[in-house]
Amino acid sequence: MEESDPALVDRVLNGDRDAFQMLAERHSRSVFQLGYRMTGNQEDAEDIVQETFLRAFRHLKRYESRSSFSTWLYRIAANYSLDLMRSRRRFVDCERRDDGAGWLADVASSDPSAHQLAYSGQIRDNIEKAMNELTVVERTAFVLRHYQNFSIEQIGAALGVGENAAKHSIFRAVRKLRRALEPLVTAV
Amino acid sequence: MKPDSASAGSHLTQDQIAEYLYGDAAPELAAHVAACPECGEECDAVYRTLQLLRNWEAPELAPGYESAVWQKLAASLPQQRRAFRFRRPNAVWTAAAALAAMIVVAISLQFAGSRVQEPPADTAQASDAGQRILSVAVTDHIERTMAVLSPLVNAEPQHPARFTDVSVEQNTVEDLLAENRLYRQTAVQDKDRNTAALLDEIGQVLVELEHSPAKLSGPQAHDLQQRLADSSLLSKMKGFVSSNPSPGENGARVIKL
Repeated sequence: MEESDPALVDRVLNGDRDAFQMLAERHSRSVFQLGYRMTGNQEDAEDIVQETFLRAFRHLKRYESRSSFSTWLYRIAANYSLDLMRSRRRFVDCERRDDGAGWLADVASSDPSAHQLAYSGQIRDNIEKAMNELTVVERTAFVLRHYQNFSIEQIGAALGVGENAAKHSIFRAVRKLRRALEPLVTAV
Repeated sequence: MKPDSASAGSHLTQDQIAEYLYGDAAPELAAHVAACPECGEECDAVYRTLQLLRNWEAPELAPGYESAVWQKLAASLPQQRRAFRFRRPNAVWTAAAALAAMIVVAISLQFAGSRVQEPPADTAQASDAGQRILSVAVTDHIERTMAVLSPLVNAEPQHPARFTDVSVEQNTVEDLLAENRLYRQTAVQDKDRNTAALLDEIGQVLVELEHSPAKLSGPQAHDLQQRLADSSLLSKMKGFVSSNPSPGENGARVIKL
C-alpha cells in the first residue's frame, strides 16, 4: 500500500531524504501542470517545480497535516509563480501588439467551421493568449479555483487578500475569458 | 453576453453566473437559472468557455520526468539547507510590533491617567483607547496609501504605445500591503466590518499593483485607473480619513508608526 503524504513528511522531518524523493516524484507532474497554467511557459513551469520542492523542503516543519500536502505545495507554487511572473514582466508582452487588430480579430474572422476549430494548436494558442490578458492576480485566482479546486478562503490566503477580493478576482477572470473566447465558443 | 453589473434587471449578472457554475451560489440562483431561458442560455455559454479551458493541458511530459526532477533537486538540497542570507525585517512584524507597542502605550496612558483622576480604570476604557489608537494607525496607513494611488488615478491618459513607470510605487506597496493585512485582520477581530471591508478593497488594489509589471502599458494603466474610479476607492478612503481625523488635527498627541 502506498504510504500517505503526512507519513512521508514525518519521515523527512526525521532525516529521511528518500521520503522526500517519493513526495517529489509523486507530485512533480501536478506542480508542473499548475506552473504551466500559471505562466503558459514550459521552462518557467520547470523552474517552478524545482523551486517549489526546494521551498517545501526548507519549510517542511511549517506544514500542518490538517491540510493536504498537495494543497500546501500548490500554494507554494502559486506564490513562487506570482514572484516569477512579476520579475519576468511577461504580461507586458500581450500589450505590445501594434497591429491594431489583435488575435481576437483573427479568431473572429477565421472560418468558423467546427471541424477546423476542433481542439488544436490554434485553440491552445488562443486560450494561452486569453490567459495572458488576465492580470497576475486574476490568473492565479482563476487557476487555483478552476484547476486546483481551491476554496475561496484558500485562494484568499494564498494571495494575501480577503475572501471577497479573491472571489472578485475570479469573477473578473471569468468575465474576461468569456469575452475573449466568445468567438471560439460560439464557433465550436 | 450579459452586462457585468447588477443593472441587468431581473437577470443574473456575469458574476452571479460564475458563482452559480462554481457551485458557490445561493439556491435561489439555481432556481432562477432553471426558470429563465435567457439566463440558462448564458450559463451554457459560460459553461462551454470553462469546459474549453478545462481541456487546456500542459505539453505532455516525457516518461521518467519525475526521476529527472529528483536528480536535479537532489543536487540542490544540501546547498539549500546550508544557505543563509540576511533578510530585512518583515514589514508585517515591524507593523505588528509598532501596533502592539502603541496599544500598550495607550492602555498605560489610560491607566496612569485614571489613577490620578478617577476610580480604577475599567477594561472598556482601555479597549476604547486601543480602538482609537488603531483608528489613528489605520488613518495614517490610508493616507500613505492614498499618496501612492492618487498620482496613478490622476495621471493623464497615456497613448497605448507608451508605458507608465510604477516601479517607485511598487517599492512602497510591499510594506503598505503587509501593514494592510495586519490592520484588516485586527479590524476583522474587532468586528469593525466597515474598516475591514475598506482595507480588503485597498488590499486588492495593492496586490494588483505589487504584481503588475514595473512599466504599465497604456491599456494596463487605463484598466487600473478605471477600476479605481469604478470602485470609488479613493473617495471611500478620503471619507474614512475625514471621519477619523488624525489626532494632530485637533491638538491631541500624534502617534506615528
